[in-house]
Amino acid sequence: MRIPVIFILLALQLNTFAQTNITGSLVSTDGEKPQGISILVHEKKSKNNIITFAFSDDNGKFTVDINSTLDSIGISTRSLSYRDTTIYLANKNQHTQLKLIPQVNHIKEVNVKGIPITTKEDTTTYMVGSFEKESDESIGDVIARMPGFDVDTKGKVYYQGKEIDKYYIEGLDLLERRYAIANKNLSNKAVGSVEVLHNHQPIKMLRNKFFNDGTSLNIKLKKKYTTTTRAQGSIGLPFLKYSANVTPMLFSPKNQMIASWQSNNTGNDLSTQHHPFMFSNNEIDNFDNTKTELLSISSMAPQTISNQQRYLLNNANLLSYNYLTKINEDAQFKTNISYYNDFIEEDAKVSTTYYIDSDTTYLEEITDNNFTKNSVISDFTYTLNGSEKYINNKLRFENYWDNSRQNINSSEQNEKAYIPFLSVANEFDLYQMIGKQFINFKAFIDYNHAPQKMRYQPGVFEDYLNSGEDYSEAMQLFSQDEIRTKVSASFTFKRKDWSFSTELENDYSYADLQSSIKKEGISIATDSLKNKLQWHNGEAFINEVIKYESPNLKLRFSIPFSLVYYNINDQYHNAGDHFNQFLFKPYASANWTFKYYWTSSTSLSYRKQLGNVEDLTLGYIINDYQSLNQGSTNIEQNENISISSKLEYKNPLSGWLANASYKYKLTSKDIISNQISLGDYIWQSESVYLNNDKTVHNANGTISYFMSKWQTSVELKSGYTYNDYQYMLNDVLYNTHSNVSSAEFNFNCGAWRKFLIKYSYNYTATQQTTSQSTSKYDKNEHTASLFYYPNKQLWFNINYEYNNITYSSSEIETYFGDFACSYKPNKSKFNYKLELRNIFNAETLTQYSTSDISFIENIYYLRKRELLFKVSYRF
Amino acid sequence: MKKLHILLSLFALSTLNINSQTYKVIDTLEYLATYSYEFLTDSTNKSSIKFQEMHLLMGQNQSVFQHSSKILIDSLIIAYKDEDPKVAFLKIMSMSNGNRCSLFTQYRIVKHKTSFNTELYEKVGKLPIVVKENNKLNWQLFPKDTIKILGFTCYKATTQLSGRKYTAWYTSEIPINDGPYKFKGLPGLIMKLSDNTNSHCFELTSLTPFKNCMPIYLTKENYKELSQEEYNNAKKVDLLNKMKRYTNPANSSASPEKLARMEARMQRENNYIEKY
Repeated sequence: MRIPVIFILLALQLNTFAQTNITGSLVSTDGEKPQGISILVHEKKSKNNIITFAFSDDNGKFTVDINSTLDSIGISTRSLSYRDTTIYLANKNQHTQLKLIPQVNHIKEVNVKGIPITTKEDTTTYMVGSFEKESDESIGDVIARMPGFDVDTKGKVYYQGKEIDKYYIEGLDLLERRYAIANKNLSNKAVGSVEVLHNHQPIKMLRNKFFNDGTSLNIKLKKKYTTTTRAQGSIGLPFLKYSANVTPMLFSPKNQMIASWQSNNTGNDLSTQHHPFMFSNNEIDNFDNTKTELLSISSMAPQTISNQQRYLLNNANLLSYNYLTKINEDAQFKTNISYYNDFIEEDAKVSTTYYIDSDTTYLEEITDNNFTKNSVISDFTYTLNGSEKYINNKLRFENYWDNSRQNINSSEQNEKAYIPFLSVANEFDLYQMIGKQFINFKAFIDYNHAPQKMRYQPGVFEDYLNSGEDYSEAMQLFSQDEIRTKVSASFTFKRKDWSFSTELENDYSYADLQSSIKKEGISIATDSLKNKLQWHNGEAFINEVIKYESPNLKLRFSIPFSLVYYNINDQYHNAGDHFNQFLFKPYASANWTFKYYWTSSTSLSYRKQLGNVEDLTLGYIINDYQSLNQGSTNIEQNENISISSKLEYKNPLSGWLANASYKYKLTSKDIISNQISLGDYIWQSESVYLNNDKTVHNANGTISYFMSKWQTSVELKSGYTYNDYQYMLNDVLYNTHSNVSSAEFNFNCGAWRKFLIKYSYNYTATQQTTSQSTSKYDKNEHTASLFYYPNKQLWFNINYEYNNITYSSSEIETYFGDFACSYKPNKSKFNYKLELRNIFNAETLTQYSTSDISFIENIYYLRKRELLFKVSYRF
Repeated sequence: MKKLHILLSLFALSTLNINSQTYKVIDTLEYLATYSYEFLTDSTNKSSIKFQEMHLLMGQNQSVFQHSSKILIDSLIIAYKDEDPKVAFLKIMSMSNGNRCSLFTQYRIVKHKTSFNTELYEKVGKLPIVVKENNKLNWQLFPKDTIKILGFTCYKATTQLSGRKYTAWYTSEIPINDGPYKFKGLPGLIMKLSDNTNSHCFELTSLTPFKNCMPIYLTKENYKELSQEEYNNAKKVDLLNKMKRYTNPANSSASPEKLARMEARMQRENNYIEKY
């Protein structure tokens, strides 16, 4: 047993010898006490074999504990302000002193490259190869990964939270606002780099003269000549559900082409791509150019479910062709043509309970609607973007051949609407330098033609149109021809936190509106069934917008004045008039942030406006087989006052967020519509001069809490709306009011890495009280959804929805279920997706709504259970 | 979808309030080190890698570690102090060259030369906060393990900070006791540092000496003091809040499925450098 004891003793001895403590002080030859100097303890033979280290304190003192069996050690100082000094000492406890000689040690500049982002002036270039990943399908996926970028599900690109201005491919703007087609379909393998053009001014002559805070993108291709195609297809049951998308592209230095064919009957609405509405400055661009529908068959489609794929029974095709050719360095010509074709079916059972003069009557209709849509939109654009002049001229043709049909109670009543529409518009934009200033001139002219009609079989309103006898067919003709022009200019002046902008605009339009009724193919000559209105309308408009923006306070005042001129000529009736009117629509808002967590905002507005000339149709018009309408002699005038206020609290430290808001709106009109019952559920409406008001109060509140430990958020919302207005029925004025209360609970849990669980509950109670009746219905909606991501290639999703709606003693329940699974093999060009929609095969969805005189139950037939298999491929 | 980055950018912009910013000079710049910082925002997804360029501004008594856009923006804000804020903003943004800051690198970390006190300054939402700590890191040296970085011999050292293990490579040829983020305490500049899951990696890309008395700035605010844990939670809530604003169904056309996937991603993108 002796040996181990000796061993332990030996070990102890070694240990005690191993730990030495050296203290020391640094003294500079200039008397300073060097601070923060590195003290390295190393082997005597090599400075690189560091044993330990320390730093000198504020008094230039240091302490090192040395765990080493070496006999002697070296101590070196290293610093930027003293010469490197080394002393050698025996490895034992001791105090030492080092004298340091001041000397500035320069470190040479060190540089490496190897950053995948390079910048030159206002252009930043991202090398695509450095950002792309195996899973990327299109250039959009790569852009989404670049710092500062984001791409939304529609393919729109955002930079620093703002949508980009232009999406150039090799410096050319082929697709304008439809660039998502390229962003979603152009393969990243064809792209060499992406250039980000900061503060890019698309108009060359304004460059370096006017700041533009917008960002644009330029896609640089690897090859001068590139062709690429993306294809996607799916098939499914019941036989045969399908969807397809083929997008070929061609790029060369002088020409670019992108075409796309899409087709489906799986409930994917393609009309949004055909007529993309663009939002710029919070306003809808192009809004002026929407199609006019004078007559139409109203859609029964559910308003309350957002998932169109539950109900949209479509059969859609979209063909788009985009071609650009460069005329010279500055000028180019572009053609964009889009054709859309669709056939949409709707089936519903509508039950209406009428409350008239203490009578309650009930009407049930089984409607079968279909909508056939055919349209072409073509743009031809010439652009000259020179250093002295900018011209952009766009000529647009739009042609629609739409028609729709409604069958009620299996052909008891048949309606067919023919709603063609033609528009030819030209938009001209010019910037011209005059000395150091420039003028901007914009002119817009549009001609549109809408010869629309609606056929009723059998004939309707027999008492009025056929002396009470049944007849086979009535046809309502309604047409409008219009020419509109618009010329505008604007100017902005900024000073510190204030900005002042002035907008000037002059509009003019001429329109010709005609209507008549044909009975069994022969026009009825009676004046009271005809309209022929012609009018000239002008508007001179000046708007002054004053803004103040400081970090905590934002104010905005808008003071628009406009002078409106009308000259109306009515051939058959006395609606003709000639007048000028002055309109004023001031607006003010304030937004104030205080104590970091609180924000309050308030806005006030007043507007006085005029109704539509189209309402001056004193000759009767058949709107649908149940209603006959007559317009008013004068244009309606209305006044609006609205106040809104919101208070928000956001405390990220505690995880609590809350807000409360209140809105009030008062509308006063000088005309009210009088509904006259003609018996048998048919109605005649006429305009009556009577001041009437509508009041709306709306209050909302939200409170939410985020538990960061569980990655879980809980939210409670509630809202209340009160409406009060008047209506006229059989010459008697009534009052009505409605209350809508709602409550919502949302739960979102991401506590587990591979799962996401969501649940929400929604409750709405609606009550409408008229002098004849009170109707009340409640709705409960539960939605649960589970996502599971076992790995990068695979994901699963299950959705479950339960709705229940109660009205008096009846209760209707609906169950929905959906399942989806997606798989993308590693390094594969294929992507697979399997979807099972409407698992429980819910057939109908019930919705309730109320009007002044009725309560309506709409039972809508949904898409049946479907199984879809989708494959995507690119080459 | 990378909605996150919109949020991050919004955040970056919101911190750029030109006229609210008042600065104090805390030191004079002697050396400017640039580090490339690569990190995974989602530790389970290798493709969530982000790249940021970071600066270590070293003065006589203090150093500041911050995103590389900040030095320029600070000096420009000061230079354009008297300009029309909108014009100044545009000029500054144009010169910051698209090198914008991620949500994960909004901070400024001040380290003191002769102590282990660190201060992290940032704005969470609109609230300026500071996290004060004394980070005496316990470094273990491996003098036998060496690599060459930019021609300098670097030695290995390891340590731990808030739930992660780190390996650092420092060079005694540059006798500056400093490094990226909150790391310091080695007898030479830290040239490279990464955690053992490789989801946060810093590497020095340049080092420039400064002689022309360039000041190091810090914004003057009424900072609220938080613990590191409170700070992490506040960041998560702030991010979620921004996401909510962005994903408001009223202004988004995304299908519910895509929104949910995005949210899931947001919840997974929480690979903060300090774990709690």
